[in-house]
Amino acid sequence: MNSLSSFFTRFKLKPQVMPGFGLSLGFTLFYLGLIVLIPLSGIFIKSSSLSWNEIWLTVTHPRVIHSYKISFGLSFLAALINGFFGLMIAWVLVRYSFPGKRLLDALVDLPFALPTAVAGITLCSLYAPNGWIGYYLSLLGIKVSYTPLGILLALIFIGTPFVVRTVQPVIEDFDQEVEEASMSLGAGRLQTFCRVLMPPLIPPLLTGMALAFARAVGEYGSVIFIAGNMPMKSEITPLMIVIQLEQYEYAKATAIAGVMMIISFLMLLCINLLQAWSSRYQRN
Amino acid sequence: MSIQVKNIHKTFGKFKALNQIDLEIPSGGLVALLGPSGSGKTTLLRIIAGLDFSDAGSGNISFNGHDVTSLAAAKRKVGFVFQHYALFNHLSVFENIAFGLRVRSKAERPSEQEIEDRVHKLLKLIKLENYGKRFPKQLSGGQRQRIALARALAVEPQVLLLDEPFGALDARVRRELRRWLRQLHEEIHVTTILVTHDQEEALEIADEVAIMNHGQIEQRGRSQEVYDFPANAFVCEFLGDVNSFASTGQTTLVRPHEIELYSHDREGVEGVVRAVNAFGAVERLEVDLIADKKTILVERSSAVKEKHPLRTGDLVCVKMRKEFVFPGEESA
Repeated sequence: MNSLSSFFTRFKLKPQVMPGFGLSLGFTLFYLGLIVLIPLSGIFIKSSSLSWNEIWLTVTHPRVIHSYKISFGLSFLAALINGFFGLMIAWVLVRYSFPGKRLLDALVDLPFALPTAVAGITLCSLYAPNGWIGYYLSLLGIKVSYTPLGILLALIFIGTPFVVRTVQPVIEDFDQEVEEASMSLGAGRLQTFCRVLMPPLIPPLLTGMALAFARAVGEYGSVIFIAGNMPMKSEITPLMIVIQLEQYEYAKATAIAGVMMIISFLMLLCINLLQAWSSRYQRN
Repeated sequence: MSIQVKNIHKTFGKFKALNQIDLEIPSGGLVALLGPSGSGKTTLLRIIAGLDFSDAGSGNISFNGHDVTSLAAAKRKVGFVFQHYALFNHLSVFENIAFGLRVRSKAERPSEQEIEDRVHKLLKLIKLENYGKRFPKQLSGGQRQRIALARALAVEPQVLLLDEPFGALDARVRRELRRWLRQLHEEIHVTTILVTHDQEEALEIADEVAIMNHGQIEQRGRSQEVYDFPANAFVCEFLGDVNSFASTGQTTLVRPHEIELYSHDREGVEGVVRAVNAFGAVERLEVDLIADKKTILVERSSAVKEKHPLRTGDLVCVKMRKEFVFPGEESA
């Protein structure tokens, strides 16, 4: 009891206006444990029923290795593309006024709201060789549906809102006078954009891209319809997990899931560190 | 670098922000644009800076005789200081000040060593020598405004434009910076325009003031001149406290320190002391005039105060030493 109270006094350095530090911290830890930590550790516990050798063979199977490249590579590429166009959309939505702006703004959230299967089927039929857009692309020799390009398209689609919604409030908060100060100091438009406007946008941009990336890595519903799911060509890692599950190989499924989780965690960690570095000036 | 403003108009929709402004500022001068909010003083400053443009077809702005009316802000070589600092929060203090030098084209850009020397010189000038590595958010308002000023000075502007530079600061820091700015101006002699709504600030810092109201310049002159000889009732009232007495066809304005109070046995207007505020060097009294049914404000120096102490309820005689009389019953 004594050690517990000293534990709390150590962390309760300053008297707080709001009471309930102990209660709220306790509940937070309990809740996160229940919702996040226990299911995640379940992954490792479940896969530990396999021997190391079996785990290694499962997670390094050529089909699975290829699926990592597809999943992480395309998710990263999709996040980059979303970063660029998301920034542009956010910029247009904040800086310009035009008829239908509110409608366009609402449209940005659509990929959030749409059931992923609906998105997948719609994209697939649009971009199939006999679809509205796919037909013309196939004339140019570009195949979208049932190829990695199709997967990329689906991942871009579902990731669009993340960057827009994280960057938008920061652009809204920009002080007009800061731009004017830059101009009056002799900076041109491009210099003002690169030196004054862009740096504060990098932290939210990274956050948005990290979110889009995380969402894309785990995306199943929309991708599965457009991917074609050809082994060594267009299979994503979540599909590899589902295939194992369908064969009642639960331990193998969790082994692959564990690898996915570790890679995702490391990538997000890197992005977070990068973000902390790019926003270092905000600390007092 | 002298500034000439000729026949400038500016309208926002139906609102006339500036109406036929003519203003000439001599090279090396420090002129304050003084006026209540909405009088157009900031708009005029922004037009001089090139951050706003006057109405098409209206007059022109020239620096040293060169017409700059259609020149973009980046090309005018003006230093502009904003009320809310407008510092680049993601850059260190050093980089903030160096900004204007770094954005120059390669041919004009000073070497890294020269930039460093100049920034350090400016940091010394604003008395923040050891703050180069800090970020703006780690500094106080007064420090930030000094950095904003150093940033504007770094490009060696021909003209320095200050838009309510002390407006966001507390009273003590404001007084300090005021004096510092005046000294600074004596050292570097850049033609400066200061926009403010604080008449004390304007009269204290500036060589000359231009008093603005409703998009027009009401009066222009040396501080003492406009204070002692206001052109109209608006100027008179804006520059300090006044007691106004309206009578048919004219308004009489009297400053509180131009009123003398005598003991009741003398001749003059009768009044009763309603309240006494005696702190500081000046005593402020409210006096009810019996005949006029009106309360006036009186200021007395401490010397007078000690000679003739007054208390609430005392009967007094009121005498005006100096009055301003303007035609028109309603004052602005």
